[in-house]
Amino acid sequence: MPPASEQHILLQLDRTVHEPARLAILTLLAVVETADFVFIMHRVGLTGGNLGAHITKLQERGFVEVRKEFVEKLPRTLVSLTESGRAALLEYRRTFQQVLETIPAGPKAS
Amino acid sequence: MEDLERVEEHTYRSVFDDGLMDLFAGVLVLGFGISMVTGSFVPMIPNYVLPFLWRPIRKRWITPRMGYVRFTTGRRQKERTAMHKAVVAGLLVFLAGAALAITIGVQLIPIRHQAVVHSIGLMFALAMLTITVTMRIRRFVAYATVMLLAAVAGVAFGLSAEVYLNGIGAAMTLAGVAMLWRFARKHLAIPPEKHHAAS
Repeated sequence: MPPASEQHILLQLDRTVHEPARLAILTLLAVVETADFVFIMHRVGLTGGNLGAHITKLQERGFVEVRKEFVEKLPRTLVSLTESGRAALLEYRRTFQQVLETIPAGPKAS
Repeated sequence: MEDLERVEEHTYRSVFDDGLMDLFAGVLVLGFGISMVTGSFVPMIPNYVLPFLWRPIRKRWITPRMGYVRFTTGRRQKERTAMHKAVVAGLLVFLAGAALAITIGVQLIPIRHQAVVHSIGLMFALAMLTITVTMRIRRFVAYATVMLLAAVAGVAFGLSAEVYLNGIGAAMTLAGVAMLWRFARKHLAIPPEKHHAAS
Protein backbone atom coordinates (compact mmCIF):
# COMPACT_ATOMS: atom_id res chain seq x y z
CA MET A 1 0.00 0.00 0.00
CA PRO A 2 1.45 3.34 -0.96
CA PRO A 3 2.44 5.71 1.89
CA ALA A 4 -0.18 8.16 3.10
CA SER A 5 1.52 11.06 1.33
CA GLU A 6 1.01 9.32 -2.02
CA GLN A 7 -2.59 8.27 -1.44
CA HIS A 8 -5.43 10.10 -3.11
CA ILE A 9 -6.54 12.95 -0.89
CA LEU A 10 -9.94 11.27 -0.38
CA LEU A 11 -8.28 8.24 1.16
CA GLN A 12 -6.57 10.49 3.69
CA LEU A 13 -9.89 11.46 5.27
CA ASP A 14 -10.31 10.02 8.75
CA ARG A 15 -13.03 7.40 8.35
CA THR A 16 -14.14 7.77 11.94
CA VAL A 17 -14.87 11.46 11.39
CA HIS A 18 -16.02 11.05 7.79
CA GLU A 19 -19.10 8.97 8.68
CA PRO A 20 -22.06 11.44 8.34
CA ALA A 21 -23.68 10.72 11.71
CA ARG A 22 -20.37 10.98 13.57
CA LEU A 23 -19.45 14.13 11.68
CA ALA A 24 -22.79 15.64 12.71
CA ILE A 25 -22.15 14.63 16.35
CA LEU A 26 -18.64 16.10 16.36
CA THR A 27 -19.82 19.32 14.71
CA LEU A 28 -22.55 19.73 17.31
CA LEU A 29 -20.17 19.04 20.20
CA ALA A 30 -17.66 21.51 18.74
CA VAL A 31 -20.07 24.40 19.34
CA VAL A 32 -21.28 23.53 22.84
CA GLU A 33 -19.49 22.85 26.11
CA THR A 34 -21.40 19.64 26.73
CA ALA A 35 -24.71 17.97 25.87
CA ASP A 36 -26.61 14.90 27.01
CA PHE A 37 -27.71 11.96 24.87
CA VAL A 38 -31.28 13.21 24.45
CA PHE A 39 -30.18 16.59 23.11
CA ILE A 40 -27.69 15.05 20.69
CA MET A 41 -30.29 12.50 19.61
CA HIS A 42 -32.83 15.18 18.71
CA ARG A 43 -30.36 17.53 17.05
CA VAL A 44 -28.66 14.88 14.93
CA GLY A 45 -31.80 12.81 14.30
CA LEU A 46 -30.60 9.40 15.42
CA THR A 47 -32.24 6.73 17.53
CA GLY A 48 -30.83 6.09 21.01
CA GLY A 49 -29.16 2.82 20.07
CA ASN A 50 -27.67 4.21 16.90
CA LEU A 51 -26.32 7.23 18.75
CA GLY A 52 -24.85 5.04 21.46
CA ALA A 53 -22.92 3.03 18.89
CA HIS A 54 -21.46 6.14 17.27
CA ILE A 55 -20.56 7.71 20.63
CA THR A 56 -18.78 4.49 21.59
CA LYS A 57 -16.78 4.59 18.38
CA LEU A 58 -15.79 8.20 18.98
CA GLN A 59 -14.93 7.43 22.56
CA GLU A 60 -12.63 4.59 21.48
CA ARG A 61 -10.68 7.07 19.34
CA GLY A 62 -10.54 9.53 22.22
CA PHE A 63 -12.53 12.16 20.32
CA VAL A 64 -15.29 12.50 22.92
CA GLU A 65 -15.48 12.19 26.66
CA VAL A 66 -18.52 10.66 28.33
CA ARG A 67 -19.19 11.26 31.99
CA LYS A 68 -22.05 11.07 34.43
CA GLU A 69 -22.91 14.24 36.33
CA PHE A 70 -25.69 15.56 38.48
CA VAL A 71 -27.23 18.56 36.79
CA GLU A 72 -29.87 20.33 38.87
CA LYS A 73 -30.10 17.23 41.04
CA LEU A 74 -30.79 14.90 38.12
CA PRO A 75 -28.28 12.31 36.87
CA ARG A 76 -27.25 12.87 33.27
CA THR A 77 -24.76 11.33 30.91
CA LEU A 78 -22.91 14.20 29.31
CA VAL A 79 -20.81 14.08 26.18
CA SER A 80 -18.06 16.59 25.40
CA LEU A 81 -15.54 16.98 22.63
CA THR A 82 -11.93 16.36 23.67
CA GLU A 83 -8.96 18.37 22.40
CA SER A 84 -8.05 15.38 20.30
CA GLY A 85 -11.55 15.32 18.83
CA ARG A 86 -11.43 19.02 18.05
CA ALA A 87 -8.07 18.60 16.35
CA ALA A 88 -9.42 15.66 14.32
CA LEU A 89 -12.43 17.70 13.24
CA LEU A 90 -10.29 20.64 12.16
CA GLU A 91 -7.90 18.31 10.33
CA TYR A 92 -10.87 16.69 8.57
CA ARG A 93 -12.12 20.13 7.56
CA ARG A 94 -8.71 21.06 6.18
CA THR A 95 -8.40 17.82 4.23
CA PHE A 96 -11.95 18.04 2.89
CA GLN A 97 -11.32 21.54 1.61
CA GLN A 98 -8.44 20.07 -0.41
CA VAL A 99 -10.79 17.36 -1.68
CA LEU A 100 -13.25 20.00 -2.87
CA GLU A 101 -10.48 21.65 -4.84
CA THR A 102 -9.87 18.41 -6.79
CA ILE A 103 -13.51 18.20 -7.91
CA PRO A 104 -14.03 19.90 -11.28
CA ALA A 105 -16.44 22.83 -11.26
CA GLY A 106 -18.10 21.79 -14.51
CA PRO A 107 -17.87 19.30 -17.39
CA LYS A 108 -14.51 19.12 -19.09
CA ALA A 109 -14.43 20.89 -22.44
CA SER A 110 -14.14 18.38 -25.30
CA MET B 1 -14.32 29.61 11.85
CA GLU B 2 -17.41 31.33 10.52
CA ASP B 3 -19.24 28.13 9.66
CA LEU B 4 -18.95 26.82 13.23
CA GLU B 5 -20.20 30.19 14.49
CA ARG B 6 -23.27 29.75 12.30
CA VAL B 7 -23.77 26.21 13.61
CA GLU B 8 -23.46 27.49 17.18
CA GLU B 9 -25.97 30.25 16.61
CA HIS B 10 -28.41 27.90 14.90
CA THR B 11 -28.06 25.39 17.75
CA TYR B 12 -28.61 28.11 20.34
CA ARG B 13 -31.71 29.45 18.56
CA SER B 14 -33.17 25.94 18.31
CA VAL B 15 -33.26 25.77 22.13
CA PHE B 16 -36.07 28.36 22.03
CA ASP B 17 -38.11 26.73 19.28
CA ASP B 18 -40.42 25.16 21.84
CA GLY B 19 -42.67 28.24 21.78
CA LEU B 20 -42.56 29.00 25.50
CA MET B 21 -41.07 32.45 24.93
CA ASP B 22 -43.76 33.24 22.35
CA LEU B 23 -46.47 32.12 24.77
CA PHE B 24 -45.05 34.21 27.62
CA ALA B 25 -44.66 37.29 25.41
CA GLY B 26 -48.20 36.84 24.06
CA VAL B 27 -49.73 36.53 27.53
CA LEU B 28 -47.81 39.64 28.56
CA VAL B 29 -49.21 41.68 25.69
CA LEU B 30 -52.70 40.25 26.20
CA GLY B 31 -52.52 41.18 29.86
CA PHE B 32 -52.08 44.81 28.93
CA GLY B 33 -54.70 44.65 26.19
CA ILE B 34 -57.40 43.09 28.36
CA SER B 35 -56.53 45.43 31.18
CA MET B 36 -57.13 48.39 28.91
CA VAL B 37 -60.53 47.04 27.81
CA THR B 38 -61.73 46.14 31.30
CA GLY B 39 -60.08 49.03 33.12
CA SER B 40 -58.94 46.53 35.74
CA PHE B 41 -55.39 45.74 36.83
CA VAL B 42 -56.17 42.05 37.47
CA PRO B 43 -55.40 40.80 33.92
CA MET B 44 -51.88 42.22 34.34
CA ILE B 45 -51.10 40.10 37.39
CA PRO B 46 -49.74 37.17 35.29
CA ASN B 47 -47.23 39.63 33.77
CA TYR B 48 -45.48 39.85 37.11
CA VAL B 49 -45.74 36.12 37.88
CA LEU B 50 -44.56 34.74 34.52
CA PRO B 51 -40.86 35.70 34.83
CA PHE B 52 -40.64 33.50 37.93
CA LEU B 53 -42.19 30.55 36.08
CA TRP B 54 -39.69 30.56 33.19
CA ARG B 55 -36.93 28.50 34.82
CA PRO B 56 -39.19 25.96 36.60
CA ILE B 57 -41.17 25.29 33.41
CA ARG B 58 -38.03 24.87 31.33
CA LYS B 59 -36.47 22.61 33.95
CA ARG B 60 -39.53 20.43 34.57
CA TRP B 61 -41.12 20.30 31.15
CA ILE B 62 -38.85 21.49 28.33
CA THR B 63 -35.44 20.07 29.24
CA PRO B 64 -36.66 16.49 29.94
CA ARG B 65 -38.03 16.45 26.40
CA MET B 66 -35.39 18.43 24.53
CA GLY B 67 -32.37 17.19 26.44
CA TYR B 68 -29.74 19.13 28.33
CA VAL B 69 -27.09 21.31 26.72
CA ARG B 70 -24.53 23.64 28.24
CA PHE B 71 -23.23 26.24 25.86
CA THR B 72 -19.77 27.77 26.04
CA THR B 73 -18.86 30.46 28.56
CA GLY B 74 -18.96 33.09 25.82
CA ARG B 75 -22.50 32.18 24.82
CA ARG B 76 -23.67 32.04 28.46
CA GLN B 77 -22.28 35.52 28.98
CA LYS B 78 -24.10 36.79 25.88
CA GLU B 79 -27.30 35.23 27.19
CA ARG B 80 -26.92 36.94 30.57
CA THR B 81 -26.38 40.28 28.83
CA ALA B 82 -29.43 39.66 26.64
CA MET B 83 -31.55 38.86 29.67
CA HIS B 84 -30.39 42.03 31.43
CA LYS B 85 -31.31 44.08 28.37
CA ALA B 86 -34.69 42.34 28.12
CA VAL B 87 -35.30 43.14 31.81
CA VAL B 88 -34.51 46.81 31.18
CA ALA B 89 -36.87 46.84 28.19
CA GLY B 90 -39.47 45.07 30.34
CA LEU B 91 -39.08 47.67 33.08
CA LEU B 92 -39.72 50.39 30.53
CA VAL B 93 -42.92 48.55 29.53
CA PHE B 94 -43.84 48.32 33.20
CA LEU B 95 -43.38 52.06 33.67
CA ALA B 96 -45.53 52.72 30.62
CA GLY B 97 -48.14 50.33 31.99
CA ALA B 98 -48.02 52.03 35.38
CA ALA B 99 -48.53 55.39 33.70
CA LEU B 100 -51.52 53.91 31.86
CA ALA B 101 -52.95 52.39 35.04
CA ILE B 102 -52.71 55.77 36.72
CA THR B 103 -54.32 57.65 33.83
CA ILE B 104 -56.86 55.12 32.51
CA GLY B 105 -59.53 55.93 35.00
CA VAL B 106 -58.91 59.63 34.80
CA GLN B 107 -60.50 61.88 32.21
CA LEU B 108 -57.47 63.40 30.60
CA ILE B 109 -56.89 65.42 27.51
CA PRO B 110 -57.35 62.78 24.75
CA ILE B 111 -53.98 63.42 23.10
CA ARG B 112 -52.05 62.81 26.28
CA HIS B 113 -54.03 59.63 26.96
CA GLN B 114 -53.39 58.27 23.44
CA ALA B 115 -49.65 59.01 23.68
CA VAL B 116 -49.42 56.97 26.87
CA VAL B 117 -51.47 54.16 25.37
CA HIS B 118 -49.48 53.88 22.13
CA SER B 119 -46.20 54.14 23.99
CA ILE B 120 -46.99 50.70 25.38
CA GLY B 121 -47.11 49.27 21.87
CA LEU B 122 -43.78 50.92 21.11
CA MET B 123 -42.24 49.59 24.28
CA PHE B 124 -43.42 46.03 23.51
CA ALA B 125 -41.88 46.39 20.06
CA LEU B 126 -38.66 47.52 21.77
CA ALA B 127 -38.65 44.54 24.13
CA MET B 128 -39.20 42.12 21.24
CA LEU B 129 -36.49 43.72 19.15
CA THR B 130 -34.16 43.34 22.12
CA ILE B 131 -34.90 39.62 22.22
CA THR B 132 -34.32 39.39 18.48
CA VAL B 133 -31.02 41.24 18.44
CA THR B 134 -29.49 39.82 21.61
CA MET B 135 -30.77 36.26 21.45
CA ARG B 136 -31.12 36.09 17.66
CA ILE B 137 -34.65 34.64 17.81
CA ARG B 138 -35.73 35.99 14.44
CA ARG B 139 -39.49 35.43 14.58
CA PHE B 140 -39.61 38.19 17.19
CA VAL B 141 -38.71 40.54 14.34
CA ALA B 142 -42.12 39.77 12.85
CA TYR B 143 -43.85 40.38 16.19
CA ALA B 144 -41.93 43.61 16.74
CA THR B 145 -42.60 44.86 13.20
CA VAL B 146 -46.34 44.26 13.44
CA MET B 147 -46.44 45.90 16.87
CA LEU B 148 -44.46 48.91 15.65
CA LEU B 149 -46.61 49.37 12.54
CA ALA B 150 -49.77 49.06 14.63
CA ALA B 151 -48.52 51.66 17.14
CA VAL B 152 -47.64 54.05 14.31
CA ALA B 153 -51.06 53.44 12.73
CA GLY B 154 -52.54 54.17 16.13
CA VAL B 155 -50.87 57.54 16.31
CA ALA B 156 -51.33 58.42 12.64
CA PHE B 157 -54.79 57.01 11.89
CA GLY B 158 -56.38 56.53 15.28
CA LEU B 159 -56.25 52.72 15.31
CA SER B 160 -57.35 51.68 18.77
CA ALA B 161 -54.59 50.36 21.02
CA GLU B 162 -57.02 47.91 22.66
CA VAL B 163 -57.65 46.33 19.28
CA TYR B 164 -54.07 45.81 18.20
CA LEU B 165 -52.67 44.89 21.59
CA ASN B 166 -55.30 42.21 22.07
CA GLY B 167 -55.03 41.06 18.47
CA ILE B 168 -51.26 40.78 18.45
CA GLY B 169 -51.19 39.33 21.97
CA ALA B 170 -53.71 36.68 21.00
CA ALA B 171 -51.78 35.83 17.83
CA MET B 172 -48.50 35.46 19.74
CA THR B 173 -50.19 33.37 22.44
CA LEU B 174 -51.71 31.08 19.82
CA ALA B 175 -48.38 30.80 18.02
CA GLY B 176 -46.72 29.87 21.31
CA VAL B 177 -49.38 27.25 22.08
CA ALA B 178 -49.10 25.78 18.58
CA MET B 179 -45.31 25.58 18.85
CA LEU B 180 -45.53 24.00 22.30
CA TRP B 181 -48.00 21.45 20.98
CA ARG B 182 -45.72 20.57 18.09
CA PHE B 183 -42.75 20.39 20.45
CA ALA B 184 -44.58 18.06 22.83
CA ARG B 185 -45.60 15.75 20.00
CA LYS B 186 -42.09 15.65 18.58
CA HIS B 187 -40.23 15.28 21.87
CA LEU B 188 -41.72 12.67 24.17
CA ALA B 189 -40.76 12.93 27.83
CA ILE B 190 -37.94 10.57 28.76
CA PRO B 191 -37.57 9.55 32.41
CA PRO B 192 -34.39 10.95 34.00
CA GLU B 193 -32.93 7.48 34.62
CA LYS B 194 -33.01 6.84 30.87
CA HIS B 195 -31.13 10.02 30.03
CA HIS B 196 -27.92 8.18 30.68
CA ALA B 197 -28.75 5.07 28.72
CA ALA B 198 -26.91 3.89 25.64
CA SER B 199 -23.59 3.40 27.44
